[in-house]
Amino acid sequence: MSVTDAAKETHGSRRSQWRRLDSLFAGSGPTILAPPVYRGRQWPFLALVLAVGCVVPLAFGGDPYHDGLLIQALTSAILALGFFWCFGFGGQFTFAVFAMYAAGAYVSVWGAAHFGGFWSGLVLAMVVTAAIGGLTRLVFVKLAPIYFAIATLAVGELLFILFRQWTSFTGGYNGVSSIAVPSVFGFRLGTPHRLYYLMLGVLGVFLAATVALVRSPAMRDLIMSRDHGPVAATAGLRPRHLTLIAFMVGSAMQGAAGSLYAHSSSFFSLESFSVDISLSVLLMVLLGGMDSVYGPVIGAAVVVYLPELLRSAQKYSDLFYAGLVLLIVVAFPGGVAGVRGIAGRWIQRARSH
Amino acid sequence: MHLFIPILMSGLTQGSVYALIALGIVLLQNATGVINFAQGDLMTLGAYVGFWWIVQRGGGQVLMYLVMLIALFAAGVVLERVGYAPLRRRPPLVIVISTFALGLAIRSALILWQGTGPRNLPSPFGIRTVSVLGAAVPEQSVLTIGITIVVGAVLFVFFQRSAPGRQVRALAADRETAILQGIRVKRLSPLVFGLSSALAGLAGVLVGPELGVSPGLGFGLLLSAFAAVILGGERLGGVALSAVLVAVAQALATAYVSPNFSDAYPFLILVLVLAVRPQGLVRMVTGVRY
Repeated sequence: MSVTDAAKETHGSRRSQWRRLDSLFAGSGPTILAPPVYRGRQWPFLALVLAVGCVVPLAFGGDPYHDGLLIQALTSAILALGFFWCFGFGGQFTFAVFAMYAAGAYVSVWGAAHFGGFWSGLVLAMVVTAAIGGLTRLVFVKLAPIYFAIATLAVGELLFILFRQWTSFTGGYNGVSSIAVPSVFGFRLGTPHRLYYLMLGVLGVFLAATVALVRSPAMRDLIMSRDHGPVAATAGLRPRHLTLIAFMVGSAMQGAAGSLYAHSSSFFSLESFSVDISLSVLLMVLLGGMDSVYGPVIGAAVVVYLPELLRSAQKYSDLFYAGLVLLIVVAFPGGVAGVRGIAGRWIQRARSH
Repeated sequence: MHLFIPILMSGLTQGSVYALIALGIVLLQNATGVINFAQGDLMTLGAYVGFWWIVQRGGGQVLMYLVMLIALFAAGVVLERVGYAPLRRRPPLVIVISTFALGLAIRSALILWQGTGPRNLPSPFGIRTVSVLGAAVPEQSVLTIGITIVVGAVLFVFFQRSAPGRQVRALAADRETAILQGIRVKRLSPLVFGLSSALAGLAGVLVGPELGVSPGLGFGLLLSAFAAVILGGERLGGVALSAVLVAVAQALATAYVSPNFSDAYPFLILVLVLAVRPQGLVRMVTGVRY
């Protein structure tokens, strides 16, 4: 969405409010047009998506291997949603996703062991990663986007080196094995099948938060701050605060994904985290599309299930990913969620000729 | 003190390699405005081409440099055609994403070609050493430093004396004015992409005998080169100087502070410089002169 759209929207909604008042007093008036975002039925759609999510394991799950794939898809979806908040809402590209993921995993395991259970670990992981993300953003707030991306790559690598050397906390390459099993109201979620529903719940909460933001006036402020920071400041907004908050929320979601990954596995080590995670998350978000809240979810599902479909050509998967990123960047900037728009434009062009 | 000279020499060697990568990055950035995240993987490609020519084909060392330079120049031109030309008018971040993807493509293609295992690229001098101020220094180090100095001098002459060099400098100084003056950016950019990836390949061939050749070789060094680029304030001379500074600081800190964090020091320098002086240190000096 461009700024002019956002401005139009702001304008439109104010005017429609006045019209609504006028029509109340005068008894009649022109029909009121809601801003475009209210025309979409986001809440029913979210409910539908989650309902479909509840049924999916019946079709695709069953044995531990396929349940594991489903869990992986959900963790990736949460991670990608976190990146989407940083990049799509906050406007800041970050390479530190893999480090936030690792930090979330380690902090969560530690927190669960010391403060009683999975939930405190999850909350602690989110708080810590939000703090790291916020601090990174604050320290490098003056940098141009590209240099900020380089800075996040350096911060991510530094965190990785810290985790490698701090073996008393992380176990280094030997890994962590005593990991608390999540439980809800005393109900142990020991199997992948049960963990799936826990993750679906967490993803649902995060998606609900995202939808709530998209439908709120804060989204207009955020778009203005992201795309035209100095102008937004003259309009009385606080661009740095808004983008900082988006970045912190995104980092916290990445940390939550790390925490969920950690507690769904009986063992993990430093080998699980590498900068390649950042690239595959970028691929997920690009593939799913930057224009839709569900882009990261679609992208995560595709990226996790693609190697399954291409089982015979597994060794070409990285090459394929890279080619796919290029193809998307060059030809389909909107990703899967944007294909509808591109197809619509092609049809229009064909008609006009 | 008896350790100081070897540490300094290894720092200088490493610095030469950083400088070659960083010069490629800055050259490209000045001419096209692109920050190339595939630079590290181009360097790996160079090392593998060298390995292929010497070990698998049994070719000669001197001819290897020629083959490698031609191959990498061609790779750079392909990179420009695929990853930059279609995206010229898009935001810089999109081009960064595309170079990042191309880097991954190169890395995975190399794994398909040569496997993931580390390879050993023989040095033209074997493991012979020379004595520098009483310290034994591998001849490969001397070669690395020497070639870097020669390349630096050639680049300096190229930028001062030749027409394409002057055009690149004009683009760096003021892109829009340069284009208004009729500089053909579209013709210049394949040349600069080729040149910069040839520099990366040279770095790969020079560092290969010391570090061993593996698919992750270049990406690990890329961030250190970025440290040099940012510290040097995006000027060729400043970047070469700060590449050496970064590497010497890294070597000294590894020896005297802690060897465990050896790979962290360049990143630490990068983070500190970006946080404190985003415009680089060298620009501070030139700022006084104006």
